Amino acid sequence: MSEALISNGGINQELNQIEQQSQLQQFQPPHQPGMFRRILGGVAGMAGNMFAPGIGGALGNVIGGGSSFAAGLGASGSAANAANLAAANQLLAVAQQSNQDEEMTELASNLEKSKHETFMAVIQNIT
Amino acid sequence: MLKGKELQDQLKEVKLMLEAGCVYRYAGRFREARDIFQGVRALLPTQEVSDLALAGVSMDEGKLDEAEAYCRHALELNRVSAAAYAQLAEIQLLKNNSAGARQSLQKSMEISPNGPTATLSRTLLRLTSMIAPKS
Repeated sequence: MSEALISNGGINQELNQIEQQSQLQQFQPPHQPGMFRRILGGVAGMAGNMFAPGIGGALGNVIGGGSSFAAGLGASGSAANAANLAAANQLLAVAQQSNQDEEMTELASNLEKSKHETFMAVIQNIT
Repeated sequence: MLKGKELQDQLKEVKLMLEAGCVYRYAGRFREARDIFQGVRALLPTQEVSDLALAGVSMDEGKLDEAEAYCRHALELNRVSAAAYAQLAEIQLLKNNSAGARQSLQKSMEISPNGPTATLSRTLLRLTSMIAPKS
């Protein structure tokens, strides 16, 4: 009898647990994409924005399961893209200035060399 | 009148003097360079080389009118001196006379289409084309 009671109590406990779990599941939000997938979506968004601004956000949303996290990363990717573009433009301007300076230095060097060689040729042609 | 080996030895010494004058000029010791070139001018009054050298010194000193006068004297001594035309062109460029410089360079290249003077003329022409749009 006691064994039967004990076994009945155990069954009751299990039933309670099942009931609690089912209640908890009712309050849980719907299935979210995994963290890896969300991060991947964000990264894809950033990469997409570098090559085609505007596309990256959508791509990030698709891969990341449309979560706001992925959209946020996409938006931050767009901002990073603008910053990258500004930095690239600045670098390009510096490179152009450097090229121009190099060209002028080379021209000045060639000029001095030619002047010297011309004068030496004149000296050697004295008869 | 010097002849043969004696003349060659004298010329060799004059050439050495001119090279020494160039070293002084490149070192920025213009007074010494000028003294040497004027000495050569006294020794070889019919050669344009000393006038060209003096024009170079005057140009380095920023005396562009004086440099141009030396160049024109060099051209009086030798009408077909490509080096004198090239040097005149450089002075004209420094005086912002791009058109005159271009003409002088063309004459220089007609006289000597090859060699170091032609290289100098081409470099100066390139410089002229770079300066021209700004003026």
